[in-house]
Amino acid sequence: MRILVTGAAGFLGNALIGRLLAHGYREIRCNVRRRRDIPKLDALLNQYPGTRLEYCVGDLRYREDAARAVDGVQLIFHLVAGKKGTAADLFLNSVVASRNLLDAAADRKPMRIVLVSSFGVYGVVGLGRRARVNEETMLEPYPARRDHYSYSKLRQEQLFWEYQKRKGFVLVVLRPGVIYGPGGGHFSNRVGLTIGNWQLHFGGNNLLPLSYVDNCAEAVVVAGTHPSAAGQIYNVHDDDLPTCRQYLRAYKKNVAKIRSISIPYFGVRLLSSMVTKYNLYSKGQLPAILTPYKSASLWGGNRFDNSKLRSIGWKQLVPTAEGLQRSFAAFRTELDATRVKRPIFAAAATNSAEASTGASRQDAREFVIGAALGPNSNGTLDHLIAACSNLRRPGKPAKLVIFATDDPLRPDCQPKIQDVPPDLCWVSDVLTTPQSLLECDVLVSLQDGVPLSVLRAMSSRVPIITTAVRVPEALLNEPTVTFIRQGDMQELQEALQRLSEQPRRNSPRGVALAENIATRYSETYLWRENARTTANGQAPNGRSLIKKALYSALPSRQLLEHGNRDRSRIAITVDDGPDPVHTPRMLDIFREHAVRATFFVVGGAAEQYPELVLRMKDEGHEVGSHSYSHPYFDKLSWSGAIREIGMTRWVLSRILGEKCKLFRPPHGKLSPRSLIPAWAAGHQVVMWNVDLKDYCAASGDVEARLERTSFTSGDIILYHGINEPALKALPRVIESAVGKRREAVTISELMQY
Amino acid sequence: MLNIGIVGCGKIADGHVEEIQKIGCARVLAVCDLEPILAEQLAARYSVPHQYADFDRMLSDHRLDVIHIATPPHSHLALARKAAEAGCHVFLEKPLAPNAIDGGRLIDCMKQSRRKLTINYWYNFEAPGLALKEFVAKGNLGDPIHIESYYGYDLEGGFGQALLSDDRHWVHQLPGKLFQNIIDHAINKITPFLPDEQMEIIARAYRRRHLKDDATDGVLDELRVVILAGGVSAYITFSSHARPVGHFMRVYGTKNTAHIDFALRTMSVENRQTIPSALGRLLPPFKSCWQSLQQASHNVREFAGSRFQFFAGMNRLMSQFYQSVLHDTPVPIPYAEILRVSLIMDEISAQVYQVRAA
Repeated sequence: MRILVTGAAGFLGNALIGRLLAHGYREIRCNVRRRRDIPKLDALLNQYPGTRLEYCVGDLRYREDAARAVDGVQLIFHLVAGKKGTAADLFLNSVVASRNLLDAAADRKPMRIVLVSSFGVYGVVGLGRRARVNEETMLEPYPARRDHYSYSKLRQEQLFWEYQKRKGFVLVVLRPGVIYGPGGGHFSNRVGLTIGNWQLHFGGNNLLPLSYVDNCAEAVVVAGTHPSAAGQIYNVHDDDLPTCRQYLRAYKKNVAKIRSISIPYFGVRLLSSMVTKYNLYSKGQLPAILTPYKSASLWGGNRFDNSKLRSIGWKQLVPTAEGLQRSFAAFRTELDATRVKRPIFAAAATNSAEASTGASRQDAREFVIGAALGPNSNGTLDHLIAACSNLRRPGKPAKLVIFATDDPLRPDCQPKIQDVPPDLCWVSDVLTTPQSLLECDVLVSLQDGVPLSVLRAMSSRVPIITTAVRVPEALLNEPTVTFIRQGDMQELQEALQRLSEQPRRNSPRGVALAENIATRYSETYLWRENARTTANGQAPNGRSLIKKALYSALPSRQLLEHGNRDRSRIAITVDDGPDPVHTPRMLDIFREHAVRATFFVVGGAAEQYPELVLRMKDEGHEVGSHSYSHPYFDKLSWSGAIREIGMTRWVLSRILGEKCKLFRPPHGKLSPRSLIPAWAAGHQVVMWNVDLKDYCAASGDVEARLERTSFTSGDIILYHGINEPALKALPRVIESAVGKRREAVTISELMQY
Repeated sequence: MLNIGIVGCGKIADGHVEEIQKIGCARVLAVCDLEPILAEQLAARYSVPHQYADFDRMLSDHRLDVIHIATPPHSHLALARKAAEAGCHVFLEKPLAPNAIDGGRLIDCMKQSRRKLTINYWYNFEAPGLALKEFVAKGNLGDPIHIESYYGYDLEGGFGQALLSDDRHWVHQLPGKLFQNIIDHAINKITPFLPDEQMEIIARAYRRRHLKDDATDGVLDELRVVILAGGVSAYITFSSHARPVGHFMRVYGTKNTAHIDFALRTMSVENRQTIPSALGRLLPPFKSCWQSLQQASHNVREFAGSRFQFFAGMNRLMSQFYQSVLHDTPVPIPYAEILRVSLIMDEISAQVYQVRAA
């Protein structure tokens, strides 16, 4: 017996061919519309070696194609139907195609035709809710009031019965419920409507007449070939049916967390009636997608009966639980596949020798470490380069990409970068381009605070390694961020090693997202990048005039630039920190020279190293606030500025047990946003009049500057001591500034007369 | 009450029936399609009393006043001729005919039988299209210098998919293929501005979508046209890939420039600046903002009054045509314009597909 399957490349068609082969049918002709559908069907033959399928490429909407398709066959499984489009499309694809097939086949003898119809042909509106739908249920009396699909399916089935009566061939009709499975739709209209990202859940606790695609195909084969099925109709659905609500819940749990609104049936009726009324009132300005009639048909709620199908020997091959599991897994894969593909990093390809061959790049992809450089990165860059070279990745080298966030690249970092072997490191020529950031496996932030590159990396789920110094609280809760102690090379190496051994992340990444997050954080915490004035600390002339005016206009208990010139005292003030590498050494030096200094500490760092803050206090130094995360106050919002000062005040009072009186704005920025909240918090704002610029010092710089500087009594000296040259120069600074004539005191002592 | 017959029950026929049913002075008496199933479904869904598979029978059975021809363009001439002979006026779906020669014959035949003809260039009858007409009539534009007409298209839509999945689709038989079926809408907006002189047309087209290795690969999907005629120039851009799918025109005049967005149904005017220096650059954005606000509020009012229909333009065109039939007044679209669109299309097809009408 030669079999024709129309619509063989479709969702059900594919499964049907599989079931026919499994039942041992071998003379199968597949009608497909396009030649490119053939390989998909050929793949089914892998399980049945030695068998082959016959293909008939043709469109049943054309009579000549239909005649060609039915030539010489005795059994036809007619699956072709329009699924979407205008009413004309649906009728053309379902009804006209069927008519052509019937015209070509109905006169042939013997001929058995199996039509796959739909549950949509039943007229359930008059039955009332919860009524049982079986094969005896009447057909839809008002098809034009239903959706176009149901109408076209009903007309298709009627056409088959009309022809059957006239021509006398054997007809079997199957009416499946909701056919589902991998490759099928995610939601049936019976569950609800999908509008944008929302699922309007109209189905409530109605039974969902699911039929797993293989179960449905099995039913088509069983009914299509069973001798007693001639002239019969069979409802097709699985035995253990879930409710619409259960399906939606399972989908949310297993596939995607979609948003849904559940609307009870009376609400659906109300909504439908409103939509219809508006449609009539406005003469169709908005389409009547919901009408009370359509709603009653789809969401009225029925019970279903497949006992007739079971009576001819059909058995559910795949249990519903397993069918759902398989479908959900496939849906998840579908959704994953729609995500952005990984871009190719042009810089990496051109810079690395082995990356020139695509295959080796796939197998032994280099581990790309991004480094965000900024002021004060000098010391830590050494660590990073060392950690990068020591990374244990057999056959998978590590690459370092330097993102210079200072413009031009820090002069003291440049020689170091030049020393790194070129196949290990390159400098990103475009500053913090989001695209190149996405290629990084990890971003190591070697500067204070939160540069834009870190925000972008964070938003793109690129793992970050950073110190917890001067970072906002929001960052502390980010799962992608690894915090290490400042200057701890061992910890850096371990963190890098751990990340390099993890599988490469596969997370949604997008520039738009990055921009969003940057906007979110920038208001409070974004550091100004490429700022030319940040490194040298030299305020422009206009600003220095304003500063001078402020110093002379305001009393020193509000704003202090230097102390009393008449008394031989000076104050050494140390900004930033505490950090576990430099601060203890600095404290040692101060102790050796019996110097009491004033430390302006960053709240975030103080929180992390309270023992160092306590040691400062114990050794007689004074501790002041230097904000919580060292931001640019002129770039902060008012609320951000208040938070910065308030948080530090609270942190320090908790550590020291007393109120902190002094405040120095980060970067020496005197702006309303730094001054007013500081005064409101009861702080005295302390500036300086001598800056040795040790924070950007190379070896010998501080000494050279010392030569040119003459100290006088009452000076307030600004020092940082956060790099090696600065620490080495500190004893000489103390000697020059204090000498034998002066005493180094804290700010509070300097203020005393 | 005008009795209307519709021949061709495909996709666009739904729109025709719906709009006719909204107009008070006409009713659809019969529908006809060579494929009786299509005629049947249309009649059933819109409660049309009669349906036919034979056009001649429909004409002989009923005394129809207007025939709407919504069939593929190859049949337009024959159907219009029969309709005119039966004393019916004709409302024709675009494009006019596969080529301008047939188009000319069709118009001649209507003229000879003293029946009226119009073609469904409905965008020109939407509110912004009419506003432009009024703007020009009042002399606010000055003399037209240049017109840009942009028409975006989505091949993923129903019609695009229908023709790309079927190499026997009638669109493939047209000399200008996809362009010919669509860009009438882009050409008909510029023809009213072109002087009645010899035209110079440069058309370039290419295919941007991926090949599918079937017969539909021959369809080009991006088109650019430059037209020069008697001191007026025009660009036509047809794009199947640019997003969002836009639909607009700009008319540059000696006095002002008008921008009409058919997708959003807005019209804005860019006036000549009278205020000097920096102020002259400062104010226009506020002015354009104000215009947008006016347009938005106008559209909201239209929506509230249920006049913001999808086929509002088609409805207006039909009404005007029916009025011209009832009162024997001039037709809403001059025949010369219709023919000119067809001539331009012929030249475009000839240049991009190297086909010349016999």
